[in-house]
Amino acid sequence: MKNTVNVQRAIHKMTQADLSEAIGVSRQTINSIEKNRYVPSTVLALKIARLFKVAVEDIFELDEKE
Amino acid sequence: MRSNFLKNFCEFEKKGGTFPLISYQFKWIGWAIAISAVAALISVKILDSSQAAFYKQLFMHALLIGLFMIVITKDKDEDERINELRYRAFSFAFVLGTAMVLLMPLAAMVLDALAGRLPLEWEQDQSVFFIMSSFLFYYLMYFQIFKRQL
Repeated sequence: MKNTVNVQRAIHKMTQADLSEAIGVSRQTINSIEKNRYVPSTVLALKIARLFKVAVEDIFELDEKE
Repeated sequence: MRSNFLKNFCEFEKKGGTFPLISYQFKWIGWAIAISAVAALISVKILDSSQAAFYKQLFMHALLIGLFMIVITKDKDEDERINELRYRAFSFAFVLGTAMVLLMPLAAMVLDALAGRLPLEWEQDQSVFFIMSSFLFYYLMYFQIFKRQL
């Protein structure tokens, strides 16, 4: 699954630490999500989308292989 | 009563309940116990006491308790990713640990046969310490690898 968390973060001028604090996870988790090493749970994906005021599909997208 | 317990347990799991763990501070206590136990095991070997066998078992047990305490403590930055990595590490440790326990006697037998040590004997000399420490070490190893890589 691909995501544009880093893009959204840049738009909102947030650091990984800011985002991690806002949604209650560690900075390493944000880093792993951005590098596509970790697929967040639905709850976490919804929290991220709500924070950036966009739909989940605008941030997270299925890979062609999936 | 039993069905209520099971129902509550399943409800907890359904809500994505995390594995019950103890506070992060206990990790240091666990390390202290494990390291002290290793030091004590070395000293028992050096001092050669009359009750060496008893102390050896006692400190080996203390080492297992220390390792177990490290395993069941929360991480410093506990969140859903760490929880998932923990489940993965548990699974890998279980499968690898079980495979090793099952394959070791067969491997020993094959080696004996190849070396011509006959008649063959079934060497299932796997103590609780060996099995438990394998599982605990494998878990700690996988958890650290996953945390660094994933």
